[in-house]
Amino acid sequence: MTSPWVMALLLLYYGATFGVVLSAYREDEPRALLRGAVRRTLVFVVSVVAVAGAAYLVSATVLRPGA
Amino acid sequence: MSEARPTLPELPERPRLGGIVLASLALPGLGHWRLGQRRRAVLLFLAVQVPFFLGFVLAGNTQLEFARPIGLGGAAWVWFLAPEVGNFVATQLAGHLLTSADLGGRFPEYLPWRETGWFLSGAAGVLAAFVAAHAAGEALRRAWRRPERALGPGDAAFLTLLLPGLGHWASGRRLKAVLFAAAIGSLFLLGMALGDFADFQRHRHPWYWAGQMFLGAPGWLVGWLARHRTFTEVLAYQDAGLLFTTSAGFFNVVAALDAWQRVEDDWVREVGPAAAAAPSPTVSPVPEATP
Repeated sequence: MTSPWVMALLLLYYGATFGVVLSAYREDEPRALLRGAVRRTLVFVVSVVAVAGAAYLVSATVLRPGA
Repeated sequence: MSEARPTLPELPERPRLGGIVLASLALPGLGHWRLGQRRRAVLLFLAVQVPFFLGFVLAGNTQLEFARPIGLGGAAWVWFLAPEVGNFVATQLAGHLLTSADLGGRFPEYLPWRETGWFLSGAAGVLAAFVAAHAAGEALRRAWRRPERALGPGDAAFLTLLLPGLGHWASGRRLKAVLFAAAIGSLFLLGMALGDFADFQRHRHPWYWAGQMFLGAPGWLVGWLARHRTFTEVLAYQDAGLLFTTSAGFFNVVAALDAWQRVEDDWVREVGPAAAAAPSPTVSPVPEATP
């Protein structure tokens, strides 16, 4: 059984590595790289949570059998 | 914002990298051969082909169980097998001439070195892709008349295959090197832990496995050491583990591309003005390097 808290931590960790790799690819100056990593991590995590939330809402309403 | 790439109109004409890369992907070492680096070409050819065919021997050619024939009218024209297809001609030879010991999965045989063989041939395919990148870097070295001792774009990309971030470290980008190594390495190890170190297995997840192989030498070592691990139960986060380990492999490709590009940008800055005064770069090859 999965825990939503562990899933959230895993998403945050994956988002952080994603943000670091993407920023390191886009930037070459250390300060811009670190700032970009934080920003891209947050954008990624918020985007995933938003899409997941929308999917949950749709599945619980219009796509629910018998709805 | 990212720094704009320098544009210097006086730079020598960019060589035809596509032809060099395609030649090297067809036959590893052919790109270097075309550049006049004959000894290095032979060494790289052997470095790819020996583990490739040794892997097929050890695994009883069972790599072909994961191959996809592509063709028309029931005839297989091209064999696709990831990641071995980076060594294209050899993969086609294997697909057309060899037969899996398992005979299409109908009669599975016990082969004690099966997993080792898969790792060898798969690593050879990834190595072949990086040899092609190295050949492209050497073409730039020739065009821009850079000395052999200078770190080239291909060298930086190739170092990334040994250890994520190593190419950046060699080019003086220490922070990026540490960040790439920490991000990619920790993501891979966490993913392996989530899968109880049993999620790097070709027979169970052949497509994930192909992506995981791009992590390079550290991934090959960890995967090979854990080759006999098996799932004893359905793990809560094994899917996340597969995603993490495979993403780590792809992130390493991103790191290699960045290492290549940054060193080329360094060259553009350093060589640009000097190259403007030099004659055409296409007439005299650079002497072969001592391997």
